[in-house]
Amino acid sequence: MRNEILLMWVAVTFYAAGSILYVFGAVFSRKLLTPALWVSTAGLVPHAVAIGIRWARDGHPPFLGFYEVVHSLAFAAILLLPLLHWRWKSLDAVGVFVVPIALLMVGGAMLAPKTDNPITPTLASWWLVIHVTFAKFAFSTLLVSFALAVAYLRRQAGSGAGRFDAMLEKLPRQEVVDELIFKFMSVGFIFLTIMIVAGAIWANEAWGRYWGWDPIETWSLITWLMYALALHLRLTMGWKGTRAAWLAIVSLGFVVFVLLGVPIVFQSIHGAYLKGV
Amino acid sequence: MTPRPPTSHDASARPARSLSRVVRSRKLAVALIGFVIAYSALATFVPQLADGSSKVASWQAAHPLLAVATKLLGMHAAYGSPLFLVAMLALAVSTTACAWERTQAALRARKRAGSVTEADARRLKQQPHVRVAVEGDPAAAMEAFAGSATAAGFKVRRGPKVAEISAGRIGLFGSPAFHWALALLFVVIAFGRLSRAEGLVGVPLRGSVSDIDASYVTQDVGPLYPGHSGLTIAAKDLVLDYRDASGYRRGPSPRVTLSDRSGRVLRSQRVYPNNPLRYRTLLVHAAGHGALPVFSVRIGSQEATAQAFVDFDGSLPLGSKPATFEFRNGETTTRFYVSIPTDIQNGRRVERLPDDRVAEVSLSRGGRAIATLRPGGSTKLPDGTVLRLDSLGYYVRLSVADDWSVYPMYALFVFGVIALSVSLLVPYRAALVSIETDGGAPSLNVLVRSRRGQVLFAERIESLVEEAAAVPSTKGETA
Repeated sequence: MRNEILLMWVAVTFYAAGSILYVFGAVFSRKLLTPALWVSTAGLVPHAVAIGIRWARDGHPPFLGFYEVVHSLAFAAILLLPLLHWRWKSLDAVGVFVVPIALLMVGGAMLAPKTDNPITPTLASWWLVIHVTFAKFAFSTLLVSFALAVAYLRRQAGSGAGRFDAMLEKLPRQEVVDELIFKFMSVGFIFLTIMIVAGAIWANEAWGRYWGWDPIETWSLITWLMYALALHLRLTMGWKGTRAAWLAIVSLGFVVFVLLGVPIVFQSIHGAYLKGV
Repeated sequence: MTPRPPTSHDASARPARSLSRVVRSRKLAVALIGFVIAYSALATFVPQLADGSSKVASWQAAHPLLAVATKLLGMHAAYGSPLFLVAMLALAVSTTACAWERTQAALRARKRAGSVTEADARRLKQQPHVRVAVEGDPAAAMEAFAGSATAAGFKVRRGPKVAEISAGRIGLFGSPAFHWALALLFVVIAFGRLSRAEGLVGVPLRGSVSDIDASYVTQDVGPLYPGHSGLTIAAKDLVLDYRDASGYRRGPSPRVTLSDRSGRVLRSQRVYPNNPLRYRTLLVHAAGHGALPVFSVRIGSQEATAQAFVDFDGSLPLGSKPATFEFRNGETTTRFYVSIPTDIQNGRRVERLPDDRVAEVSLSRGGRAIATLRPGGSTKLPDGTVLRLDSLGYYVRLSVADDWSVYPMYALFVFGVIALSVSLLVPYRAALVSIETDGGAPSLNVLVRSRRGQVLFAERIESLVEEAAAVPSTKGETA
């Protein structure tokens, strides 16, 4: 456990340094964005090793308890950044939003109890891996959609004179950013769909009923409908630009509430994944 | 040409057309989705009757004003309320109409592919999305463009002056297929729920029960359920701490056997979470285990047997929930309560039969314990009743669900996810590129046909056209 905690603090240090570089890059010099990306990505190495150590000890991936769930979500979010850089270098500025959020998540997780959670008979299933992995993929892609939306609106509202606005100028033009918000939202929506489908099939295997209107099930459906609504408004009623950006921002709130809020607010059979078994 | 006068057919078709317009309305679909989101979200903050009517009553007492609204909206049984069901029905109809409309649109787009309409030709000439002046020979530029587009993975169809480039034709059918999958899901889930039966049976260890109404301790049966299978469900053994072949602890796990009326074994397997017993539309899960004391009660020459299903619960003081059984003597019904105090290990009650196998029995009168019996032991009550504990063993609690809709629903899930992915990730994109001459200056004009107005696609085509337009002419160079 000591090595694992040590490695996690090393990762936190890298993410903190990355966040500082991103903020400095946003305010002072765009040239700092690339080093910020690589420092943040470097943090994934100790983070991955820490995950591996815990996995080997507990016999399951980091899916149980507040500590495991939250820091692995942050891992998934930061993992997307080098992939984005490889495909769309012009989107490096997205890290200004993603890395500080991920840092807060990992920091919060480090303050939570780190008790080892044994896998229970209900959770011992391949569906756990499928369901939770796609939940993390959904979170990271929808977070990028959110970050692009924030950048879009900031650029829309900004005078273009400040250094932060100058950093945002590195992003593609507004029409392209708008389309990228849609693309990331689409991919996130597909991941969300797979997550819900896998969850329903798993519930039937584990409990004999595929849907029970449990608060987490209901809020997952609500979140899915929210994104379905956002995509519908764009594709059929031409809601692009500012309106689409606001929808992307508001919809992420639903995702965060489902993943982190519902298990705390409601009594739920799913609550164990966040509160620990 | 004089318009023909309206006929009675037109008059009768008007309401149908209006209804069709309403049902196909995008605003209606958006409004319905928005309603379901808002209603479901609010309902999660309101106690449901399924969680207990006392919870609902105390919430209503604490929130008298809100209680008026929640009662009106049927929110205490939110997901079965008429309001919610009507909204879902409307959404199902809207989704079906949408699926039909998108199918028609996809078929039209597919038919139109490879052709240039008069309107397209006019727009290409007068209002293209992109116009790039050609430096050299326009035909060579078009040839170069076609080559680059093919190399970039687009499908190119050439005419004498116009080329169509396209990609993702399969994407045309992604959205219709996804909406049809959704529409069918509504139907399958609705009829599945109406014809589903689910309940709990208690099966004595090394005993059996029949899958009939009377065997169920609790059950929920849909109005269209055709009836129980009549098969025999047996619990052959029970391993309290079962480890599977991989070494995973699976908890208490019975071996369950399903047999037909002639005794032929249809299925036999060990049952634990994520490993239910499946047979056709039946799904049998292990839902716990408990103690099964069997009593005989004698008054004078009358004797009867009774059993009680005692559930283990390590969080309770005795480690089990009191169970009841009744005995009727003429007009007098006596209710007995029985608990099984389990052993304590590491400060907690364990969920298995105690080593000394005692059962504490109390009468409903005064709730006072009247006897502690071991198997074979008996006690005589003041009224002359003799109560004897014949045996104390285990029973297995099984959840039995009979639902034909589960596998069709899984198939629709898979189909829907594939269709959704195709629709969003492989969208149909097409553009027409033509050679136009305006006042002697040749140009390549581009008209993007993609319905989503994709900016990245338009930019890609523009860059391909610009590269091709810069290709120098080879005509006359050798003259």
